[in-house]
This record gives sequence, structure tokens and C-alpha cells, in this order.
Amino acid sequence: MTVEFTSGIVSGAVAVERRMEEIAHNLANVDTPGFRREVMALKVVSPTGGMYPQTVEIALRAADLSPGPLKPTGNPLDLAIGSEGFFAVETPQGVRYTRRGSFRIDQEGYLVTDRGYRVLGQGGPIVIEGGQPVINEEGTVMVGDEVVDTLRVVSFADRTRLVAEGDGLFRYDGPEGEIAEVEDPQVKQGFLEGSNVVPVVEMVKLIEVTRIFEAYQRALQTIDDLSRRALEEAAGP
Amino acid sequence: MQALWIAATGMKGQELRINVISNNLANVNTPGFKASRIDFEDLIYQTFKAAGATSAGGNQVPTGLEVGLGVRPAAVQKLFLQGDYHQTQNPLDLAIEGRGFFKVTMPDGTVAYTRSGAFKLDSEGRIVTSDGYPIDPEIVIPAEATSITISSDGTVSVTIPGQTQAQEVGRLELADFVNPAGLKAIGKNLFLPTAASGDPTTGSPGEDGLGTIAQGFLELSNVDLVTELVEMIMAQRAYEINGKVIQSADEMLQTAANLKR
Repeated sequence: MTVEFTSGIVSGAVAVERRMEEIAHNLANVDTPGFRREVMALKVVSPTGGMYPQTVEIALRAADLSPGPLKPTGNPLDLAIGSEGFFAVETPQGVRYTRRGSFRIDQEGYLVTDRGYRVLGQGGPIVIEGGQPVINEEGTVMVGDEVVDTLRVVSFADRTRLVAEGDGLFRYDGPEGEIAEVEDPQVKQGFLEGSNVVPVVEMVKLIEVTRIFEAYQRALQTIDDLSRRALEEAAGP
Repeated sequence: MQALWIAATGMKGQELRINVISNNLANVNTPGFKASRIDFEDLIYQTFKAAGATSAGGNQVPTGLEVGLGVRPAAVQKLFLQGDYHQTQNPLDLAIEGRGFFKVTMPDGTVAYTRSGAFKLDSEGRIVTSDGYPIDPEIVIPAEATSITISSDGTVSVTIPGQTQAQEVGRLELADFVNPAGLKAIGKNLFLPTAASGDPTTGSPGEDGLGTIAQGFLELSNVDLVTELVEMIMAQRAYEINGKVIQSADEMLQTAANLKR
């Protein structure tokens, strides 16, 4: 019996450690523009279908897509999306999606991300020449009186298929057909969307995690005590 | 415990941010100074379980299990926003209203670019920066000139005693870049072109999207004190929070160590 309990508790402790990593990652990115906080769901599984042994597993890890606060920067190449949706960017691995609008213009005049990936418009990569661009809420990019292109802002049918890849980029693992253009993206020029990490929530989780870990330790020590007592009694006086 | 290292990336990032903020604040009164901003991005994700893999029960895992590994600074970007103008009445204080940079020749002959228009005259009458670097193309003001006028299109003219008409002695040129944020700051308010900034295009002030010259004005630093102070508070708190994660991870390790009595 003790072995079954022990394995359950150890699996719980390992899951808690993963949760700790999630909290650490979220708090490390408390001020990363466009960052979407990680959330994990744990579940209890019982391989035999009975009461014991039961182990704890991570059921789901996903990005919480709720919006972050908009921060005015005054920089005309900082863009934030006021509604749902993501900017589409071209990377060597294919099209990726991001909420992080800290763009710049590269030496060839392309609108690019921090990493130099080209931002996509309806007609492919966007080239800005001859002055500062003005971008309206629909995502239309204008230089002077001339319309250059309209930014591609897309949303996804199944958000759980969005996989974070780092560098603020997401990959969509679902079929192409599930990617739709956002009608009214409410692009805000001169704003950056902040991280949607809420420090208080993460700190509470941090306290919770340390205490749960302690509880597992107590439980293991209790099992240890019981086994020792059983051994002593079996051995007789 | 990976959490320790993840939190450490957070602390390191905030440390760099404080460095950037202190440089901005130190240059709050430097004419033509452009504030820098640090941008963070999340670090690569470690895959524990790939999406689409088969689970122990024979089912397909709908979503993968990936844990992020923290944060890293993506870029320290110069923000080429217009600074405020300050009227000085000094005829050799020049401000660019709009895009563009003054060109100056450094002692080794390379051309550097600056927004700082606090010019002076050297012993030969050349227009130079505070460090004595002459403007490119060189403009010499005759010693007998009584006044210097620089028009918005960059024409430099002087009045010479005994002459009724102002005499043109040169023309200022401005340079511009496709991506000014890619310029390399080398100190002394000077910038050098890089592969990221693209090659300079030169022209007369007021033409081809270039700004115009305002004589008797200086462009102040574009550092916004309030923004920097808010940034500083945020950086400090974020540092503290990441420190707490390290503390908690340490506590958990201690708990685990206490398992064996």
C-alpha cells in the first residue's frame, strides 16, 4: 500500500515543480511586450481505473490569451492590437503569429520585428519608403497620402492549438482553414501591449506551490513513520 | 529545480534595463540625445511532451507540454523621437525640425552623424562640434564677418562690414537613414551607419522628406523623466519579484532535502 501512496505523492511533487517553472517563467516575463502568460492544468490519473494507485499529471499547458495593458510609447513603429488577433510574420520556419508589435524598419525598408522577421500585409511583406508611416485602426499602412498595404491580423478557431515558440512568436498547429482575418483589429499606433502576467496572481500561486510541496513532504514522512512502526511491531518486542 | 534559472534570467534582464534607464537619465540634459529602450522577449520553450504524441493510455495528446525558460533582452533600441526645442539665440545652435542628421568629419576621416546642433567656430573659422569635429561639407566663416544667418534650407550667409549684401559661404547638408534605430551610437552624440541602418542618403534641408533647420534653437534630449522613473519603479519591482521566486525555489529544495531525516 505504501508504495502506491508514495508514487502518487512523488508524481504530485514533480507536477508542483513544473508549476513552479511556469510561475518563474511568467514572472520573468512580467514586462515582456505582448507576452501571454502560461497556464497549466493538473489532473489525477489512475492507470488501473481503481482508487489506487493514483498519480498527478499535467493535463494541459496553454497560453492565456487575455489581453495585456496598452502602454503609450509615442514611437510610430510600436503597434498594439486592441481587439483579439495576432500579427502575421514571415520566419525561416514559416508564418508565425505575434501580439508583440515593437516593430522597426530594416535597411531594405521592410517592416520587421525585433528579430528581423518581416511583418506581413495582405500583399505580403510591407515596404515603407519615403517617410514615417501612419497606421489606422483597420491596420491600413499609409506613407503620406499613399496606401502601402493593410496589416494581416488573424484569429484562430482553436486557440489551444497555438504553441508558444519563444521570441514572442506562436505557431498554429491546426489546419490553415481555421485561420481567419480579424474584421476590426483596432490597431493602435504608438502603443505597445504589455505582458498579461498579473504579479499578484503569480505570487499567490508561488505561496500555494511552496506550501503544497511542504504538504507532500509531510505526507511522505508520515508514510515513512508508519512503515517504520509497522516494521518494529512485526519484529516484536 | 529549473525555476531557479528561469528567475535568474528575469533578474539579469531587469539589471540590464536599469543600466539603460540610468544612461537615459544621465543624458536628460544632453542636446540631441535619443533615449534607448530595452525590449524583452520570452526564451525558447522546452518540450516535455510533444503535441500529437501518443499517451500511455493510447490516446493522442491534444496539446503539447512545453515550459518556457525565462526571458532575454531582444534589443536595446534608440528611439528617434523628436526632442523639445529650446531657444538659445546663439546663431550657431541649430536644430533639425523633422528627419535627418548633421554630418561631421571625425579626425580619422570617417563621417559620423548627429542630431546635436550645438556648433562652434574653431581657430580657422570652420563650423565644428563641441569636440572640434568639422561639419561635412566644411563651411568656413570669414574672420571679419559680423553676423551669421542660416536659413531653414541650410544656406549659411554672413554679413561683412562694408558690404551691403549678405554673402553666401556654404550650404548645410543633412543625411537620413531608412532605419535610424539601427544606427550605432559611439558617444559624443555621434552615430555611425551599420548594416541595419542602411546607407545614408544626403540632401538639402527641407527636400525629400528631410527636416528644416532652425537657427538659434537646440533640440533637447528626448528622454522623458516621468517615463524613465516609471520604468525604473517597474524594473525594481520586477527584480524583487524574480528574487522571491528564487527564494521560494530554494525553500522547496530545502523541503525536499528535509525528506531524509
